[in-house]
Amino acid sequence: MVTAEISPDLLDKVSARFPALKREKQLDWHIFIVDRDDLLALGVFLKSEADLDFAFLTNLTGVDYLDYMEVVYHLYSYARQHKLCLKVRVTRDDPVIDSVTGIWTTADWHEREAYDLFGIVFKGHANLKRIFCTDDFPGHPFRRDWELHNDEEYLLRDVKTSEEYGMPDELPS
Amino acid sequence: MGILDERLITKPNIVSMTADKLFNWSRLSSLWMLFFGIACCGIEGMAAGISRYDFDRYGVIPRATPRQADLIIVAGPIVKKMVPVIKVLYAQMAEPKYVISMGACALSGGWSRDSYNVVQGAHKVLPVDVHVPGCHPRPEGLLYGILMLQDVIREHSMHTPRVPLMVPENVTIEQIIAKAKGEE
Repeated sequence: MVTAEISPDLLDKVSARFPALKREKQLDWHIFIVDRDDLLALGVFLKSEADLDFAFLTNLTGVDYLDYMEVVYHLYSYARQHKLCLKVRVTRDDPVIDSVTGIWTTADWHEREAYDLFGIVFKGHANLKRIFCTDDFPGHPFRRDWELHNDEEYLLRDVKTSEEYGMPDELPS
Repeated sequence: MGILDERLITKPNIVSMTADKLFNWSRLSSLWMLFFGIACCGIEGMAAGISRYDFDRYGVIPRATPRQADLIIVAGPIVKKMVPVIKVLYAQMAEPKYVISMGACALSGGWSRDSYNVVQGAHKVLPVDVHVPGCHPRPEGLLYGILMLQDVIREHSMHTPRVPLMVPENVTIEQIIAKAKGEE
């Protein structure tokens, strides 16, 4: 994937359209800190403008900073070969954010992952349920305040009995 | 029938021991295996199967279905969602069936120790016969484990229960050769 740095003119163009955006730069990534109310409008703008043309959502993930939580979007344009990063901050008490599945379909499973591991709720997602953990998992394991422990009773819990599998009731240890 | 039961079935005798010997010999000589490579140990298991180590010569032939397998090698961490799958595979195997747990994850959880989603050892799910420790064990370790399993089967009798064994650390080719020759 050949990547050219996005031109400053384009960044200025986005900033002019959305004045509330804060701009950052880390390594070769240009980052916009986005308010969650602006996210959908910004997403549509980035994808539909011909000289921006961010048709591809490379990655979407959640981050927990204890004070707040963040959803990170990595965008790439195959046509223009430039990339951009968006960060949306939400509070821990109200981790609700608009789903971008309507703009980039690939966000479907990524948002389910962020929901499963961080408990971030994506409003407007058609099928927002856990993707890695089972439905009866208590809490969201990647949150920093979730205490790491091994719950054997939960792990070995099964709807079938040992006899149905043809297994002995007690295993030799 | 009381005397016959006592003489021929509940206690070791010449008939049962001869039968045991014959069955054990045939079982240990053709351990068809279902290789359940869940993680990186699977790569070492494949290395043990191909030409350099070649465990086909011990009669350990990989099978694609549990219906034809006598031995299941659990190689990797067992996560919560894998537990029912592994139980079904084990249940589909024909008796007598044997289990080798390969690697630190299948032994105790390994680097996933105290993880929220990994079962702390294959012995919580299956009746393991031989543990092969290491992260990950070299093909020598797996070969040694198979030889140990053959020993387990050789001693197996309808009168005695099976006990799990552990492969020693840092097994070398020389040890395997010695064990295969019966010198150790």
